[in-house]
Amino acid sequence: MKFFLQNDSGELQRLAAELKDFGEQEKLPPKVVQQVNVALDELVTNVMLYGYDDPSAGVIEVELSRDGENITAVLSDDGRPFDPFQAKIPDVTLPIEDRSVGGLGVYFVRKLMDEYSYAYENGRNIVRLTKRVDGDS
Amino acid sequence: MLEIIDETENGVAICRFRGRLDGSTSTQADEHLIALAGKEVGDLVLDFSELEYMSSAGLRVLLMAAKRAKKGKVRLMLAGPQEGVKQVLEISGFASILEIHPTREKALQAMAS
Repeated sequence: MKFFLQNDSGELQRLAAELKDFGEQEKLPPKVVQQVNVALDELVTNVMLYGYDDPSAGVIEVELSRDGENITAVLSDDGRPFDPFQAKIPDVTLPIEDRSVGGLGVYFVRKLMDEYSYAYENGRNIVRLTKRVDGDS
Repeated sequence: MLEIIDETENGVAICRFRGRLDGSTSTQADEHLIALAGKEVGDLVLDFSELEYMSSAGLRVLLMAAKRAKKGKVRLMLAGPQEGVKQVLEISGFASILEIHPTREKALQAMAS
């Protein structure tokens, strides 16, 4: 299934609703649906915050599919070229005073998904994620 | 959608979070907790048992609240996170900087001790 999100944080609720439908249709475990939701939420939020000069510009395309035990999510946008996986990995062991939340979103994507990749093609950022349904993480 | 319900139990302030804490609701949650800190309610339990979902936007709110609590010398505890929210707290390392209890009762017991 494919859907489009406007550049508005309220659209995160629609992302959740679309994923819930996809999960029900494919009879996915709620845990997997939630993990894919977190990963897409973080990437979509980054595009909304940093992808466009005009804070309400752009449309983000999300495509979800299932092939056997693999769930694939492809996220694409026409914002400025940005590879989220170049971001530096946050130190998750620092004490409260020194903690920040920068970089945690992409860290979740790395931890919760089985595969992730980035490409810039025809003026679009394309992030592809794979999650195995039978995975134990 | 996020609903935050203020309660007190045994004299301890409790915020019951119901719904989703993400980039679309984090400002609402942050403002709510800042307002509570302004009222100097003292120790605070965030009851997450009805919180269905949290992203890093929610962690930012929790980190700010934890920093305020530390500065104000009050205790902040989380209670009853569901599996998905718990996983986000664990992966981020927040489980080691925040005091988290499996239920509200356990949190209140810890507050009383």
